[in-house]
Amino acid sequence: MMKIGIIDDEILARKVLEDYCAKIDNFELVVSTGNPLEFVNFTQQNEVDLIFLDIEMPELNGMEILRSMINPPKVILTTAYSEYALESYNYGVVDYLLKPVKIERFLKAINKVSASKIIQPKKDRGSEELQIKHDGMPVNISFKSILYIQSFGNYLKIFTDSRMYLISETLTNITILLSENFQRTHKSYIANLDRVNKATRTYVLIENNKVPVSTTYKVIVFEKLKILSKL
Amino acid sequence: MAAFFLRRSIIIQKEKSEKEKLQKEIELNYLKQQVNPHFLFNSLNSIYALSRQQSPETPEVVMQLSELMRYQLESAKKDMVLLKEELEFIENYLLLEEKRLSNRCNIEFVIEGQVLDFTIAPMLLIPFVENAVKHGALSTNNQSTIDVTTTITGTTLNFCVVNSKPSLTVAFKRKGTGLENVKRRLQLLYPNHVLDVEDGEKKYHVNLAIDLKATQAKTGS
Repeated sequence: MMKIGIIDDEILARKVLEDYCAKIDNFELVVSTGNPLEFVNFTQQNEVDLIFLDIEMPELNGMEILRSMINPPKVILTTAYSEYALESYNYGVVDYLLKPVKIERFLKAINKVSASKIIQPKKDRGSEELQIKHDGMPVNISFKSILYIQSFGNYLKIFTDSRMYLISETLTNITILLSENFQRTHKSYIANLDRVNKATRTYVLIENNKVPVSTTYKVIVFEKLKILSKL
Repeated sequence: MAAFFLRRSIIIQKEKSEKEKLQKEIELNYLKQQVNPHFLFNSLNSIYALSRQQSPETPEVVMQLSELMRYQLESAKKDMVLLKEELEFIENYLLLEEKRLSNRCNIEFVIEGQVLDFTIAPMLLIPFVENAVKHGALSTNNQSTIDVTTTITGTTLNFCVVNSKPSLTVAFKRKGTGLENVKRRLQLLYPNHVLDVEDGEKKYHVNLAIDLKATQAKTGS
């Protein structure tokens, strides 16, 4: 079951999405609200896998919600008309829907969410690439281009130089597919130590991204950085 | 004496050319943003939702939106419109916003006195109403109120917009080019107008008084 949230300040707009979601077999609507603050409170107690998020809303708009969440669920933005499409890509949103939304277009967005999956574990440790299935297509990502990997729930965000890939996988499983330069730094993060620009007590800096380092992994991270002459 | 008339005619001509220039600007602005796209697509989405539910309200809302758009397109070409039409336009706008906002906002629209065949410059009143919706209702999740009262006494039009102020707004900015534009137009078209703005603790009042007689002569076409 995929836990779904809908955030839109217009009841009629929510109604359409609620109806659409009811048509999807493994969707369970857990929250539907017009109040962004109510949603943020909800996520502190409950798990949500995917949200449909309106951009123009009172008090806290969609982009602000995205910016405020440390571990956001997957996001499909919905808007009547907007200039935010470009900015939204920075937040790794799955898709961007313009209201009114056709059911066909809605289904396409849903498929983007479920289609990102790993093909198979690659045993060959000498490989220079990570092979994943993204949007139903096999993709090879060179290790060098990967900055860090972040988990949320059963999904991973792989941040590379050029873009972010969202796949259904766990950090533990993906570790065996990566080279030794990749190190777990935190419960939810793996960093490519080869790309570290700076290290502090609590995070490593990779191309302007602060990747958190927890106490558990601090020693090993610093040892490895020394070996790589990063310290 | 001759010098006086000459100066006077220069001033009048200057005023006239400024009015013409302003009219062009306004037309251009209308062409650029005849309908606020957010408003248009959100309204279309409301209609989409209503029609999916086969709501009996659907035809009415479609008519409100189509009348609103038609009026915006047609009034842009005119110097003067019937006050009745301008008020109907505002009513349509408020009805559509009320639908979008569902039960979040109580909107009152009252006309007191006889509208008769008075005329008014188009789109003069709507910016005050749009602002009330934007700042009073759309910026909060709490219950809000908007009261629009039009009173015609003799030839004087009193247009009063009162909206509740959201308590939780971090920075309550009340600027916007829309209002600046209206002020310039009022200055030129209704130099004797009185515009009172009262930014109270809980409510925001705007009261505009203009004399409709000054422009009534142009009716007929």
